[in-house]
Amino acid sequence: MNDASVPVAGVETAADWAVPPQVRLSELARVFFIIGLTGFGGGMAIVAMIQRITVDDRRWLTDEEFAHGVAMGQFLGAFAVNTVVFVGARLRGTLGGFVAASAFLTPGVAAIIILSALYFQYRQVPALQHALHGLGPVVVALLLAASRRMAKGAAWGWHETGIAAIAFVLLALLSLPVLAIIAIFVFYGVIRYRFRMSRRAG
Amino acid sequence: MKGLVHGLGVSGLAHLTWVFFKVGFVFFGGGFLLIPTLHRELVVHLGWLSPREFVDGVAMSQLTPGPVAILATFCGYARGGTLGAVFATMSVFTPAFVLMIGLTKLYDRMREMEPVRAVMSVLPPVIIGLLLAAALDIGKTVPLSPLPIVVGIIALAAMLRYNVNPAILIILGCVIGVITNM
Repeated sequence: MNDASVPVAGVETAADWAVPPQVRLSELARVFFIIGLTGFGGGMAIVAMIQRITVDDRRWLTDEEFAHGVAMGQFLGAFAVNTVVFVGARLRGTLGGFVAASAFLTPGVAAIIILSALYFQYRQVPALQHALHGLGPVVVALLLAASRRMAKGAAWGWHETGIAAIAFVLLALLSLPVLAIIAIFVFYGVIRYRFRMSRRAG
Repeated sequence: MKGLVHGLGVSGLAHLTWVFFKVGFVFFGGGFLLIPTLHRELVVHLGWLSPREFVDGVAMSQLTPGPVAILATFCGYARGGTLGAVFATMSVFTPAFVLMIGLTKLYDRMREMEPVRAVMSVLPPVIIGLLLAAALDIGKTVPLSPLPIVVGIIALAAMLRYNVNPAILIILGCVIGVITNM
């Protein structure tokens, strides 16, 4: 997991909740600008990319923290941006969240403004489709790589495999809203915790 | 460019900002609600865009990087040029931004509490399941021919074994798509 999470003898407080490293605002802006520039493929693909660059490569947060941020972001809709805000705010507070989100959105906004200008002049959607077709397999690979890496970082067993499989089925086969899926598992987590507590007590 | 000369005026721009700010609250139900909401508000109620323009805007927002929410940028442009686009984007993201900052601060304070940690520990595998479902979903749109499959396998190996930056692979994917008319 995280380098900074080496347990200290005698200290009971969660060692893997390491204090986030000091990241310069300019570094935040640079990283999220690049993610925004290449973040094709929709919400989850962008999340996978953020995971890859901020968790795996730079270790700004742990896999677990990142997963919490993604889950919380789901409650507020546009979760790719929300995940960006979460990472920025975890590292550098409100300003960090703002800088990260602005840098992330700038390339897309600029591209849309240019395309809109062309569109309202020529009334045609620019033909970029071919470029997008080449992206499909890369995005799939990105999602697979992100899930593989996250699984490697977590304590993994049958329980985790079961949860991941159920979440997969709920979304892929039953097309439940993502928010509902997260809510179901938070509810499950509460039940599980209370059950454990009562066992420990009695 | 329509740009600044489009001349919405200060009151027009304030109205536009207010409309998109309100739409921004709809995010709470999930990003996918954004498209029907923008349609109802901007096409049906206000008549700022024609239905045809709106559909083209949806297509365009899928061509560009960034979230689909950037559709708001297109709609803002349609109404008020470049300035309209910038104000529409900023105001549509404001409600979710403020709340997400609040949630993050709350998380900072609560995550060390034992019950919160115990409940949240179920989330990482959930996210993994969701990532895999998204992979399947996008995978369905990829034609089952040799070239895309090879591209996918090489990209996967490059990321897992050689730590190649995904941004580079995304750009390479685009280039291959254009060259081979994929």
